[in-house]
Amino acid sequence: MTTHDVMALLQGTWFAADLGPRALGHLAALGRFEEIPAGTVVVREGLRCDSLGVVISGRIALRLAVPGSPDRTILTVHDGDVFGWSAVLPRPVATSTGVAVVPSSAITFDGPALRAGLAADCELASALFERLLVSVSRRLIATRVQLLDLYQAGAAPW
Amino acid sequence: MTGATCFLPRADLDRLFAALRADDRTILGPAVSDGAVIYDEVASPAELPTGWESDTEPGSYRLRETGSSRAFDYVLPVTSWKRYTHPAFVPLTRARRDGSQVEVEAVLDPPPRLAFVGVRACEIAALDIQERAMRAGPIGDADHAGRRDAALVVAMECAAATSTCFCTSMGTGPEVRQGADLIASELDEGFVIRSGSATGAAMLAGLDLEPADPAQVERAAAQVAAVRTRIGDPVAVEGLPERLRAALDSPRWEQVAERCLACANCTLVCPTCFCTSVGVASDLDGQEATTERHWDSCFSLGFGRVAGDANFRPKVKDRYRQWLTHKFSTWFDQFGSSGCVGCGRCVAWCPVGIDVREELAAIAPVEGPRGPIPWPPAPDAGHAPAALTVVAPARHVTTSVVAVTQETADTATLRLATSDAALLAARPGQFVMVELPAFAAPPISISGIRPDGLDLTIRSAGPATAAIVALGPGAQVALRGPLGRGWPLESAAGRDVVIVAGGVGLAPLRPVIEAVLADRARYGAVRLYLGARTPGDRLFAAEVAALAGRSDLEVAEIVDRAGPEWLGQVGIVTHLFDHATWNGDRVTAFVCGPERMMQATAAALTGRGVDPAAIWLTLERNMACGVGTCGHCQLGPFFVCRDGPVFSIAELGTAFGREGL
Amino acid sequence: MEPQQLIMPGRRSPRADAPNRPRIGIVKFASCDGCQLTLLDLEDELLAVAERVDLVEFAEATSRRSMGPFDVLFVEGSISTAEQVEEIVRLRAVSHRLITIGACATAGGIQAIRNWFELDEVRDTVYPGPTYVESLAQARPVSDFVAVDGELRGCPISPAQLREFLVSMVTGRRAQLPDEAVCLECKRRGVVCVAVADGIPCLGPVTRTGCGAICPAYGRGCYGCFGPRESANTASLAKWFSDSRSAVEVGRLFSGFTAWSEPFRATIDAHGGPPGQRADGSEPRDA
Repeated sequence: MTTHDVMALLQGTWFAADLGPRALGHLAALGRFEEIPAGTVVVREGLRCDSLGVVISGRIALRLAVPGSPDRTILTVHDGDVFGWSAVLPRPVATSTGVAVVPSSAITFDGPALRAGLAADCELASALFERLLVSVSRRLIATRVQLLDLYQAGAAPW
Repeated sequence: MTGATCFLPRADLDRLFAALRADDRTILGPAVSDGAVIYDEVASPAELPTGWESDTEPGSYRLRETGSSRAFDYVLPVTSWKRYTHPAFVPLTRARRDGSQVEVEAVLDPPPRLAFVGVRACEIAALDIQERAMRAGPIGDADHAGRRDAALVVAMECAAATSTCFCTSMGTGPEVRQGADLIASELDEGFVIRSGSATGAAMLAGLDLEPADPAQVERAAAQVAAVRTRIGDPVAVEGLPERLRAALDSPRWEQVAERCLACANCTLVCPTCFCTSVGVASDLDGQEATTERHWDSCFSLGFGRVAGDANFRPKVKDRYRQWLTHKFSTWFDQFGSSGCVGCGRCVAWCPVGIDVREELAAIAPVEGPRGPIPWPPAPDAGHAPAALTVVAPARHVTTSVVAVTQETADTATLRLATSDAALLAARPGQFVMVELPAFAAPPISISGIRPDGLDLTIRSAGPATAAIVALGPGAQVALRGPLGRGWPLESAAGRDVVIVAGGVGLAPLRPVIEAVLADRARYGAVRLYLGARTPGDRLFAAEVAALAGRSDLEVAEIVDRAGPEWLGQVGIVTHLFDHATWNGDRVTAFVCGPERMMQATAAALTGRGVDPAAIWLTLERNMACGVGTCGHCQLGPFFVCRDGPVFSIAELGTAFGREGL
Repeated sequence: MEPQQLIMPGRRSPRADAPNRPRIGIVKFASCDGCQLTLLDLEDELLAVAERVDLVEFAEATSRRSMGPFDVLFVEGSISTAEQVEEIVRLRAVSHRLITIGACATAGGIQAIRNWFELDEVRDTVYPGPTYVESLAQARPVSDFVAVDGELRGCPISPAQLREFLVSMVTGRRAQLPDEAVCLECKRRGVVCVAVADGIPCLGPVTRTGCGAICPAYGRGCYGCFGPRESANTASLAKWFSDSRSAVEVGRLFSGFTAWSEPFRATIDAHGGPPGQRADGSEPRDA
């Protein structure tokens, strides 16, 4: 798959849809398209997070290990959203385990290469971090709402 | 109808009493009891408070004996006439449960024939205002209307005032102009009296009185004019509703809450406050049960209690704000007038002397802002004060459980059979009160409308709902309804439909889905977004799976949390569409779920470009009467039961999700 | 009524053998027995109640005794001695639902007034030979020691509320035990407010309803025997009282059967403590 193909795929996602042409080109050059068969672990909680992925199709479940009981899925990630965002951090340790629950595909970015690329390209860094922040804040909001446990049955006054 | 003004010598007052009794009426009037004037049965003029006057201050009421021969200078009793038109306890139903058989019948006692003697101008206004409140809904309150219609009103213009009076400001007195059968003024030597209705005219004719001397009429007029001067104009009412609307965040609420005892005295002495709660009584086994409504108050914590042990007005400041803004502001939205008549009872009978006049001046100062209005004007003319709706006793229809489907661990769908035309004509989004003898009746949204019955999907969240979902096929349960305004499906014709449901919130939306699919060509794209706590908490799972297989609508589900066996989506319901590519302009959305989820959904939909006037949601409140007369479900200017429970985001304005409303 | 009459062996009604009759016990600690006697006030329905429950422990009416377990255990009285602490912990362990009844069990009762004083002083004042008086330093409500599932307030409790509770227990419905002010009951009954019309200090606005507003109906101020209601604004009421009374008098008004309940307790503290001379002759401190 050519950089041009990767660029087209990225442009079709909300994540990268309105990136400027230069930044998009640079980003596409750093990424590669991957098919992810169902059941593939793309990132593992507590271990080094080697790459950032932007989902093109399918569904990645983010799971937390709960001692004494099965892993719990806390969020699923779909087209346009990212997994492995810890890869852009100085200490890239994954905060959850990402598993493809259906056949999926993604554009993935090698962590060190991406970090080097971002360090060299302020425009790309600013645009990418902005989008990562949107994605992470959306997860934060979701987590807060889930914490409220809104659907939990409360007592009724009758 | 107003004939000549006559003179009734004091010694002949008993002739008026005799005439009222001859008309088969029990005479109620002022009498001294326990250091105050109250309204009570008065057998003869001798029992009137002759020679008593009262002095009131905030938090204080004292009777003073003057030795005068006048009987009506006491100004106002502690009780108001609502004790007789809207009694403290009114029986509602009698119910029986015999094995699986259930029968609930409305109780409507014939109204007593009463004569109210000594009714003040402010009280006539109060009788009218309360009647409008009790008859503004889809069904007027039969008990109240009967009592009001059966009462004969003998008005007595005030010849004295106390420091707590402010009828002049509220435009209700002290002069009596209409609304009474007989209108009298007391002079030392007797009464000038004229009729105000045909009934009054006939009664006056029967008394065969001499015409009043013009000088007497003049003295009576001078008396009441002096009262007007004495009272002055203590409350600036111009723009008051708008000023209060702008003052919802005034720091004064907090300050008055420090003094306010939330004891409810102000609301119970108020002649227009009409809020009630329902009590249930039964034999030991719950086989024979009755319900009655009793006076309640927005000042009690229990009044704002809703499902989930939540409370819409946990703080005293919320409750004081509810009372004051309702009385002086949202009452206009609901009933077209102020809810205050200026009688001052709430001032005098407040145990710590909080003076509503002072609070109004501090909270909503004359020079204060008048906007922005936090909610738009009432949604339609349905609340116009002009027409008093037809009154009818409540209908309690016995239905039979045909089948019970356990949907989740705590939620079941009851399929009920009925041939009742009104129930079968229910519209999507309406609700019914579900009555099982000896239990409180919960309001339940209709989750299916069939040719031969209704579906109710009920979460077992308390004793009453637990008892209902435990019913098996063959068991009976009574329904009152259908109630409320449903989903405006017609407004979605020709448009794309988005349905967002959270948890049990899918239940009231199920009839929407069914109606849309039954007339599929009428709508554009149809998208269904469903959230639930866990995969096991998904409602109507089989039906949803079938829907997902259809090509003419899109279905997406998401859960808050799941184990590894769940391969579907996990996250919050807005994740299903916040990055979607559909065009929000063409969308009409129907939303139901926990209030916080609906807020997030409304925000996400607005973010997708959906018009707030096209985002409809259904609110959960502690609905009891279902027709806007018990006051429980008030939200700003709305009665959720009557004006909703379905509202658009645009209608609710900032009243939606606002703390303490 | 003779004790044997309530549950008569050999003359049990058909219902008496019903398998699911809840096992009920009624026990007492430091109290006067008045609350448990309220059960006997149910007169007309007493036999019907006895048919629907299995009364296994009720010293006032039957000589049957039980160590438990209980489906529902009604507990009267405050916890005032070390033995009582042990016993309530044991009873909690054998009771599915534990319901406290009356001001003593729910609030500490009138005896909790002594909580403001040194135990020795009080003991020496009350008993001529205090050698055998074993007592904790404070008389406290049951909920200070074990979890409580429900409570019936009052001194004594209201027969109507007890009946409502029993009906709710048998039918499975929610008991209607309002937490609102006594004032609502006064106004519904048409009782003229003694505070406003007569200037009588009345705790009705801060006290939980349930008594039927008995005292105001007889021209007396409420003295708070059902304890604080929800949102009891005692500070505001005390301030209003203070306009025409000394701090000591205001403190005394709150020092009744439920004095130890918050916020009554804090209000008493803010006004110099409860009434009563110290053993050493000193007056309680004034605020």
